[in-house]
Amino acid sequence: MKGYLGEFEELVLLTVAVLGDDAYGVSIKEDIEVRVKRSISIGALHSTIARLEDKGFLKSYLGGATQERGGRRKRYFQLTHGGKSALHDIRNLRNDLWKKSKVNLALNL
Amino acid sequence: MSVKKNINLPGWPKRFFEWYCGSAVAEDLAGDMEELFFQNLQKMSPFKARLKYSLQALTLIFSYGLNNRKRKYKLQHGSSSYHSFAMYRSYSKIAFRSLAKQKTFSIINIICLSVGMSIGLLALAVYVDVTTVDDFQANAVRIYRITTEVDDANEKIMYASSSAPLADRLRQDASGIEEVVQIAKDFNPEIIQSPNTAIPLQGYYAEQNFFSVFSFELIEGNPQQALAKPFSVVITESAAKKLFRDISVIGKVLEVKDKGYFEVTGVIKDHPRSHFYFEIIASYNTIAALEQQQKIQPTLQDWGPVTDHYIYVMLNNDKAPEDVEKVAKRIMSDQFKGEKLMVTPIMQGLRDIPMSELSNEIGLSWGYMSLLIFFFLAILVLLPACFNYTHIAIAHALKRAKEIGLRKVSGGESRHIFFQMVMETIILSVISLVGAVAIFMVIRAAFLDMVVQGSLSFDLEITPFTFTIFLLFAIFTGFLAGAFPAAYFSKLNPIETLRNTSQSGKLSKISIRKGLIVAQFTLSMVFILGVAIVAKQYRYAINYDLGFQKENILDIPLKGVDEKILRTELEKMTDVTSVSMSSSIPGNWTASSIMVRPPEKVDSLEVYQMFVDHNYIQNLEIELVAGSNFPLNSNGKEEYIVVNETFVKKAGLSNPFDALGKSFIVDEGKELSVIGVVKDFNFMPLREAINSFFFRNDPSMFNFANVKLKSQDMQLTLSNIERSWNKISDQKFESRFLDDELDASLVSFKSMVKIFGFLGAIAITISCLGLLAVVISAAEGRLREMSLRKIFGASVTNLAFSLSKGFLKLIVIAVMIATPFTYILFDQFFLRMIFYRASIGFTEIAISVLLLFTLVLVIIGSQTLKVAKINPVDTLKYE
Repeated sequence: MKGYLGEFEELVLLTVAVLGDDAYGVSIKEDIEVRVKRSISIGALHSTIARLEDKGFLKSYLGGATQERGGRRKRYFQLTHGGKSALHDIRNLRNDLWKKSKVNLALNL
Repeated sequence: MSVKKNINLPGWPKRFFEWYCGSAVAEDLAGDMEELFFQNLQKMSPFKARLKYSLQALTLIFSYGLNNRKRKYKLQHGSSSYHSFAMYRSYSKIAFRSLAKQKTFSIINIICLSVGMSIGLLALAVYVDVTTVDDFQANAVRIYRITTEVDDANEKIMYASSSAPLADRLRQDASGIEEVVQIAKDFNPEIIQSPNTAIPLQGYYAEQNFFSVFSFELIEGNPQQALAKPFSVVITESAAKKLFRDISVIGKVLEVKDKGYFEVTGVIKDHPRSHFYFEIIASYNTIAALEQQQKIQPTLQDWGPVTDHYIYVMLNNDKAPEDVEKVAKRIMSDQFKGEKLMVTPIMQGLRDIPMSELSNEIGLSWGYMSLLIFFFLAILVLLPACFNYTHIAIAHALKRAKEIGLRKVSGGESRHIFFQMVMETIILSVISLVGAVAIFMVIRAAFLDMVVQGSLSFDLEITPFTFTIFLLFAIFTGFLAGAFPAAYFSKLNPIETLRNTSQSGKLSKISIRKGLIVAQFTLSMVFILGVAIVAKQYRYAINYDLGFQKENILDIPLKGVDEKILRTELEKMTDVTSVSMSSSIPGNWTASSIMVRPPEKVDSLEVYQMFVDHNYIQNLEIELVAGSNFPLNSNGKEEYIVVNETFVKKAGLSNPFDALGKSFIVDEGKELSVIGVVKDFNFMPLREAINSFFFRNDPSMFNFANVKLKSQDMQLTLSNIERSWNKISDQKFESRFLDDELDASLVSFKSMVKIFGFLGAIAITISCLGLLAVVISAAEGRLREMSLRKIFGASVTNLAFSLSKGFLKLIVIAVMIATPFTYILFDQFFLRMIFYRASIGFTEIAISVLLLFTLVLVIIGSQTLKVAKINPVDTLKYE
């Protein structure tokens, strides 16, 4: 396993995957905020993205000029192969743990 | 949404964010924030949205995300901290190459900057000298002088001195004072060497502890005891050499004229520059002894005039001067209670003395104002030199533009280009420093001659410290000259420079250059006119009819020789037409004034007086308008006065004849009657209006013999007179012609002409060189145009005219600005100080304008003719 993936990092990686071709700063932030119902700061988000880039789980490219945002370009993010395998690793780990659980994790509602 | 579109992002958080990001790519972050901001506007108030935006910017600034990008950017692009040394080397290499490529312009720039900086160097050297005065005083920070402000409702005067009794009171009342030293100024002894020769020295009286407070080193004698006893003196090394040709002179006795015998108890090593100026110091208790013997006016016990004694205090290490000042203030206000005067003592730090301007200074001070004026003049000649660089550099912008464009394309940033260009100028100005120092050495000698002898004993040596300051000054000058062109270059758009559309943006440059030329020539014109006006004033003063004869009158100081003997001796000689005696010399400041009143009245009149004999009025050909001359005064009793016309008017008499026979009381009780009235003549320099004046006739007051000569061979006559003088006196013979004496009193005019002339020459040199450079580059730029015009039949004169007329227009503008300005400056300010003055006429202005135009025409003409005469084939064949 290639390095530890934190909870928020996993969330960001999965959100990028969910958004597909439209994963850039604002859309990621909004998606997480809607899904998880918590407000996140843009600074924290970009810090996490930067760390994920450092680890090689994400790559980015600049999009074309936009009409809104004062003509500024968007930076789009994509999962790398490393990112995908990190997500796999964490899911395998989790599944493994679920399977081996001696307590019945079913909520039985 | 459309309504809220108008609401803008908060300004400064955005700018701050952009500044913080610097060159790191962060436009996506800014874009994200902006998008969020406009989304937020839908949900909340603009204020809240803005607040949120600011917070976001803040979290980003502190975030790893942004800082990571900044670090990466630095690693990739190598900011100044990485390859700096190599960059500096490359910059300086390029700078030297481009200087070498443009030899003419580099030389012009170097000359201009050298000349322009030289005055600045002089001002800096003076400043350094002034501020390092008394540097050798070990206790300098603890020593304060008690100065006195006297306010008598009419005016405030600041004296460097204070009341003598204050010193003892301070010793009793104030705490925290280590030493109080009293010094009195006027110990100016004449040391009698032999019955007929005396050497005058300048010095002070000072208390015993003088040497424990001030760090003057004694070569001989005990510093603690040297000034303990009355009638002991300490002399400086050079005074010792002057008096004895030796420096081991302890125990020798000096005979001082009018004061008695003094014993030498110490010799002071010649010291560095100090605000004190002395050759000899007598013990302070000598004053008390002399007062007792009634040889000097008693002042020791007087609180009254604060002009005679100086008090220096040395405080304990931790003592604040304000505390002592408070005590001194209390003592003085108690002492002057109920009087109209406000007398306030003020503590002045030792190091502040040289820059202060107080009345009654103990030694010499340079003064804050004159230093400011000096720096102002320095900047006045430095700026044109910088302007020159600026417009020469801009004129060459086209040649450099491609280089800059290429640099920008390959990653050079604005600040890099700016730095490179400024560094080029700084290299140039540091090279110019060599020339400037050479000029400085030359003008230093002239300057030292011009400042009053001995003032603070300037030496203006170049020490490592001054040299460092010079270097900093050169760098500063380089920055000043280079900043504008550098800023201009750094803003060039690389696309435009490389696309060869070289004409773009030329308009603004040209108007700036025109402005600079006008400014320079305005300044030059001010100086030329100034010289013309002051020179006219000087000529006017020399030729002014003072109302008395000044040619061929030889004034001989009597030096105690009996006037009757000298008179008979002189009258025997064939070349001597007539001899008269006088107490002072007319036309300078030596006439004294007294108060005079008519017997029946109380209010008195201020009158200047001069003591002369019966021959004087005739001898100097002063015109009598009424009455007669003094009769031959055989018994030596004073009876008559001869007054001038102003006196008659001021005394309230209607015409000169009324004045005859009127009596006036002078010298408290002496009644003298008017025997004659002379026409007004200038007994004072022309600066002053003629005042009330009279001649008196008291032989005991005579100081000079005035000999009218009529001689073919002046040299022979003078040596004859000297021979007769030597028969009757052992004193050295001295003499001076009256007209020379009067010319000498015009020395301030002369130095003003010199200063203005020099500054003018500098300003003109700089402006002309600048103009030359601009004309050369303009002519070069229009070479092809000129060649084409020539082919189409334009004559040389036509071409020269079309090249020159633009420049001539600028010079005309400069003249039109400068002339009225200078006229007003001189007419309203400088000449106001002189009562009898020449008016500024058309001639001076015309001559100055002509001079300037001749210079300009020579410069422009030489270049334009060169271009106009060129063979069109040479310039066009490479097309």
